[in-house]
Amino acid sequence: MQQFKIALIGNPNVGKSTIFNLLTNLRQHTGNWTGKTVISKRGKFKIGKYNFEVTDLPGTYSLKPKSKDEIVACNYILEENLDAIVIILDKNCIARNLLLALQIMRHKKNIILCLNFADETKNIFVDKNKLKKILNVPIVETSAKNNSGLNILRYEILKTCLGDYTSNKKLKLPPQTEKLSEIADIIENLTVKRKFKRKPKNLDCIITHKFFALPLMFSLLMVVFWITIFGANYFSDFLIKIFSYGEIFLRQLFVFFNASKFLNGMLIDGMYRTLAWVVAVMLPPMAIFFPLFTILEDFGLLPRIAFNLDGMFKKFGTHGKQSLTMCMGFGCNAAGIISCRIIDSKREKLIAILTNNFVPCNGRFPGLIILASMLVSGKFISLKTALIISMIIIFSIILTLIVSKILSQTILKGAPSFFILELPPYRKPKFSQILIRTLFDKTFFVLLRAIAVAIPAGIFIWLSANLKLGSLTIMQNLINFLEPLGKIMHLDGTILSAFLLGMPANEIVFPLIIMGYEKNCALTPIENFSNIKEILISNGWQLRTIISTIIFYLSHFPCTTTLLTIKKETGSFKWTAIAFILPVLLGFLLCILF
Amino acid sequence: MRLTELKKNSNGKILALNTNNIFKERLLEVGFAKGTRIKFIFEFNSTFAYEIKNTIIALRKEDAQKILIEDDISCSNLK
Repeated sequence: MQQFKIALIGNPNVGKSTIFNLLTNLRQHTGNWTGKTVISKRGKFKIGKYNFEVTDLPGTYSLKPKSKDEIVACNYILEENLDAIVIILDKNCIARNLLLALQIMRHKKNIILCLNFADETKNIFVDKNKLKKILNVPIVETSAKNNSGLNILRYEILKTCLGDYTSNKKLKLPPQTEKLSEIADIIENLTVKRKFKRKPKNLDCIITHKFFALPLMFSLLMVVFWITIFGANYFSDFLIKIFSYGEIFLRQLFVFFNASKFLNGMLIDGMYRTLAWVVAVMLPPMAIFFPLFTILEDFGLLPRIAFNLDGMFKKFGTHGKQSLTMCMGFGCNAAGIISCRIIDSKREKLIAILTNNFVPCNGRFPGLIILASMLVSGKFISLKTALIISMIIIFSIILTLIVSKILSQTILKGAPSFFILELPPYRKPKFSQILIRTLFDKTFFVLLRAIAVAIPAGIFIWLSANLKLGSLTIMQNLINFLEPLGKIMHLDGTILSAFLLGMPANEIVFPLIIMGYEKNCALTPIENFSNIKEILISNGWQLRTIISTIIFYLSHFPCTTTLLTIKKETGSFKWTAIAFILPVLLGFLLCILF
Repeated sequence: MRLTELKKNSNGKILALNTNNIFKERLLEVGFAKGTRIKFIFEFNSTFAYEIKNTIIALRKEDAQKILIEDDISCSNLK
């Protein structure tokens, strides 16, 4: 059976991912996280007896790449042997999009042009025959929204792959961007007629309003958190219940096989419980946060947030796009660090990477909520708790900005780079697609990594709580060793050990603290909040302890997954080490000073 | 005149890009070619948003200053 290799390429915001999803019917796998389709995705589809492998490349403005995700796209297009290249253009702005198309046509043949957003552009008439004659490539109009034109696109892909277009060859064009953009303008003038100008939506008046913009954005962020935290709570309880049934079943199974007490403890109390805890705490907020985030992205709000905040970020020596990588960090710091690829300048990208860990990820939220609710009397979750959580978030943002400023004045000194950002039109997001896309792209991937670290971590934690070194367990030894340091920071040895042992996954830090105090041999599910409060108070917790723990929660070493991601993204041990040491030192300092 | 001198909701035409290579290249890629019409639509905290070739592009004030334009009035004076 024959297999053809094709690629999708286009400027950012041309609806490429949607076309890709429709082409492949979501039969795809992601090579990596997508900050904003940050690395190529692959998928498959079939026409008759022919198989097609499609690669969806990150959006790029030209073949002269400037940021890392653009380099990925350009290298792939220029170096791979492709049977067909589908260049997707936004029908709203053909001239600008044609620049990339012309650059590719200089080097490659077997090209298909796809004019997307046909549904939005009923006022724009494109003389497709003329355009086809000029460029010598097949041209398809699609509307991802109405699912129209997709069959014609598939047909043209098949024809191109089978070599039906004998005339389809490279164009003779000049290399200079300036000249190519002139040619693109001429082509648009020859082939595109606009009947009337569409009225732009006036939403920008409100969203970028002098006074309303910042409060509006912040309340939106709060709403996103509120939905995530509250929605996740129910979902988490449900998962914990299911996992506890699983535990009962496993125990019976172990009894049946006559497993030893050691095995029983290590695998069920250690591995299974840690795994269950991580999944039950991590999955629900991820499954809610990432789709919400993507809805905002697809609607066109995220670039506006970067636009509004650029002025402020500039004052702190960084780039407005860092606000987006921070938002992503609230979901998962590792995902946030990957999304830093959207920042062009290397210096500003490094600042964004090094400071991403200061914003608390979903894994740290449950612990922070418990701490916040300890500061107020009364119910576990109340309006006051929400207020304190908001203050914690503001504090984490301030911390990020201050550290960014310090970095930009010291080890990452340099002139601010330029800021060019496209603000795409507001578009209605496709909810069903978003749900599936985020599930595949982010949630699933983050979860798999978490599982991969939770299993060994669970075994290790159980061993350290059960194996004795001298007269005490390894964990007790660690707690005693860290006790003096903890006291200086207004914490104690148990809290520090919990952070250390919780490095593979921040979700288990709080259960580890309880485990340390109760001298349990395994993580115990946190069911009753007032219980926790009692345990902590009876172990000498004071107001100062709570505040110091919150500070150290925000400013301590990144989790293992995040560290590995930093190593991968920067390619340097030095920066990974700095990313580790910097927040720890700051955390020590802040805890001692407070 | 400089692009930053353009009044809100008025149009101009790009004359020259007074800038270095990477930034110039990027500007060209997002549509800032010589002779292109450009409209200033809104700003926030010294970041400006312009409509050019049917898209909205945001620039910082100090970056926008490097772009020279002629506004519509001087265009019509020439004719």
